[in-house]
Amino acid sequence: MDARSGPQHEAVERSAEELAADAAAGSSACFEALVRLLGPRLLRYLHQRVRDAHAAEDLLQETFLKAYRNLGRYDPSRSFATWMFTIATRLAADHWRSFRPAASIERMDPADGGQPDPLEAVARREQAEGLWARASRVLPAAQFTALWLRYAEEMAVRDIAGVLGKSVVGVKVTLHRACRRMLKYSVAPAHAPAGAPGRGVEGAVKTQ
Amino acid sequence: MVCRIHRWGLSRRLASGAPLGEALRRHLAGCDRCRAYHEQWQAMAKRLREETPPAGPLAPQLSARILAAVRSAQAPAARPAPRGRTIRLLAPLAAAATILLAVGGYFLLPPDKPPVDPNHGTAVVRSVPLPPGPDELTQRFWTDVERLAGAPMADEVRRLARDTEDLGNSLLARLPLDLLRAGDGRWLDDLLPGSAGPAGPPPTSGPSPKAGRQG
Repeated sequence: MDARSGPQHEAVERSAEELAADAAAGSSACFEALVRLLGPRLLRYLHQRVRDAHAAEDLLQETFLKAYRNLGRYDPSRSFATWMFTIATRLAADHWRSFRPAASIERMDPADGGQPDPLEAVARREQAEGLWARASRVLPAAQFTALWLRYAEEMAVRDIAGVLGKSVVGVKVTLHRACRRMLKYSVAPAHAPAGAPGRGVEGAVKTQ
Repeated sequence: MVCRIHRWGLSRRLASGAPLGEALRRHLAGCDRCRAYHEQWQAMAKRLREETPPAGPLAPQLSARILAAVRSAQAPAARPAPRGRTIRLLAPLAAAATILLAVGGYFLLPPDKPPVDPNHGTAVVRSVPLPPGPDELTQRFWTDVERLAGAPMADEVRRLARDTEDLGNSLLARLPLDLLRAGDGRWLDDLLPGSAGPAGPPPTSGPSPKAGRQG
C-alpha cells in the first residue's frame, strides 16, 4: 500500500465514500481513516452479534481485510457503511454457523454455573440483562440485525434492506415481527429458551 | 382484524419514521389496546436507543493488527469490466439477427391456416364455464391465499385470510333472517358448502369455508 494521500486529519474529515474511492486507488492513509471511522461502529455491532469480544475483534479484522481485497467491486453510488455492514453481517453469520455450540455455552452466565435450579438462574439473568442482550437472545439473527441497524445505527430502512438482502417491505415486516417479539418478552420475559429460536436459527436469515 | 391491520400500519410507519396517518390516529384515539401497543413500542424504541453502548475508538493494538493484516494482503482487486458494455456491443447484433429471422420466416414458410370447424361456435358456447358454486369459490379463495402467502408476508396473509373468514361468518350470523332466503325461497345456507340439508335453519355462526377446504 502506498501512502499517496495527505495528512491523516484531512482524510478523517472526508466522507467514507470519498475515502473508499481513494483507498481503492491505493491510498493507505485513506484506508486507515476508514478503519478509524467505521471500526468502532462495526466492532460494537459484531460484539452484540457474537457476544464474544475476541471473536468480534477477529471478525472486525476479517471484515476490513475482505473489504480491502474487494474495494474494486464497491459501487460508489451506495453507502460505504452499508457495504461494510453487509460484509460484517455475512461474516458473523458464517461465524455462528461454525461455532454455534461453543457460543451457546459461552453465553451462559458464569455466575449461574453452580445454581441447582436453572429456572431461577434464567429468571435472575433476565432481570439483570439489558434490552439488547435480551434481543440477541430471543430474536432470530435477521430480526436482531434489522433492529440493531434501525435503532442503534439509525440506518434507513432502504439501507437495512441492502445489508440483509431483503426488500424494503421485507425489512418492515422483519422489524414488525422483531418488535412484537420483544414486546412479548418484555411484558412476560419468562422464558424464552436460550439459543432457540434466537441464535439457534442463525442460519435461517433468508427465511425470516 | 381491524386492530391487526392498524398495528401493521403502525409498525410500518414507526420503522420508516413516517408520521401517523389520519385513519391510524383516529383508530388509536378509540382503541385502548392499540394505544397501549403504540406506547409500549415507543418506550421500547427509546430504551433501545438509550441502551445502545457508545462506540469508543478502537484499541491501538487492534487498529495496528488490522492495518498490518491489510498491508500483508494483496492489493485491492481492480474493478471488473462492467457487464453493460458487453451487452451494448451485442445488442445491435441480436436485433439484426431477430429481424432477419422474422422477415425470412414470413417469406419462406408456407401459410398455415387452420381448418374451419363447422361446430366451432357451439363448441365455444359449450366451453364457457358456469359461474362457480360456493365450494369452488371457497377453494379458489384458499388457492389465492396460498399463492399470495409467499415470503416475506406469509404469516400476515394467512392471518388476514383467517380473519376475513371469521368476519364473513360473523356478518352472516348477524344478517336478518329474511335476507338469508334466495330468490326461489330456499335458505342461502343450503347454497353454501357444508350445508346439512335443503331446509335447515339459518346459520348461527356460519359454515367454515376453511373446514370445507381441509375436508
